[in-house]
Amino acid sequence: MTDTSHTFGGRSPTNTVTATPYNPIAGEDFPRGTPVAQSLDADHTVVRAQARLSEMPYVTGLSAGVGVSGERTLVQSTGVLSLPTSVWDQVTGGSGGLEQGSTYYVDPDDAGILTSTQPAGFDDVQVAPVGIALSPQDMMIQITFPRDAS
Amino acid sequence: MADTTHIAGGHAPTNTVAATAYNPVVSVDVPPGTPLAPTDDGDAAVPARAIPSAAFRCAGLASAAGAANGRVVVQPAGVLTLETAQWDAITAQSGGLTKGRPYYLSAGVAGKITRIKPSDSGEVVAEIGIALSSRDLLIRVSDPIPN
Repeated sequence: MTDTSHTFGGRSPTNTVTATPYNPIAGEDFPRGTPVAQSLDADHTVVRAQARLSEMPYVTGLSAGVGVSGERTLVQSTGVLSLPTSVWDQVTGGSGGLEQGSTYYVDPDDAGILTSTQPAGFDDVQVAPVGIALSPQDMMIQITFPRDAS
Repeated sequence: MADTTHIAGGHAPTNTVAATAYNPVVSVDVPPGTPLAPTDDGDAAVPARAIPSAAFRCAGLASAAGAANGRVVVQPAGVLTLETAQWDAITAQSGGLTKGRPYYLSAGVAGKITRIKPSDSGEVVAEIGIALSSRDLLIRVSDPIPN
């Protein structure tokens, strides 16, 4: 950019965008690390995502806190999310935490579950990547829009 | 979005990366929420449109109105909150955004977003974001893919 030096010098930039914080209301209970999507029924409310067009495939982020129905929770939509391996195991159904180097996807069959197996199939199954495991505890969140699996 | 301060903490994070702001010059007046694409003309951007012959590589949405030949701040990610009437001017809907649904760059009109995924040959699909309410859009711009 060309006009930034005079605004950046020696202090915080003043011409950047301040996005609205994102800490929606949990529409149901869910553990940390859960992929969530905006509810179709209530503003600023998230529910567990599921990778089917007939469900809620449009992931807005991973829950950084425990979701308690009716209460606000932090949802992280980018960056590294670090959780204990036992917490990731709740979300992946695995053991020992995340598989380092693997891409994780929203599961098409069970809401709120992540899988390292790319979904395949017909009907309304979607491929919805949410991130890459950096270690058993760390997920680099890189959410992309869902695509048809077939 | 509503109350956030009690969860987000009383101070800004200190370990974040300070990215360079993107505030290009626009050649036309743009209302808030306009999807903008950089051009090959220096530090300029124009309203984006989802066809290959236009500027279809959207970099983000104008976070405020911009006047012709002036600079406008472009928001590339995160939640953008506008009034429903302002969104209506960008989406051609009424009553604001449709929560829970994705929005795409319009192929029909430059500087607009739409709930209808472009499907014709000669158009490109560029996701722009997901509506969280009638007023809030979680911006997540994808790389455009030709049909």
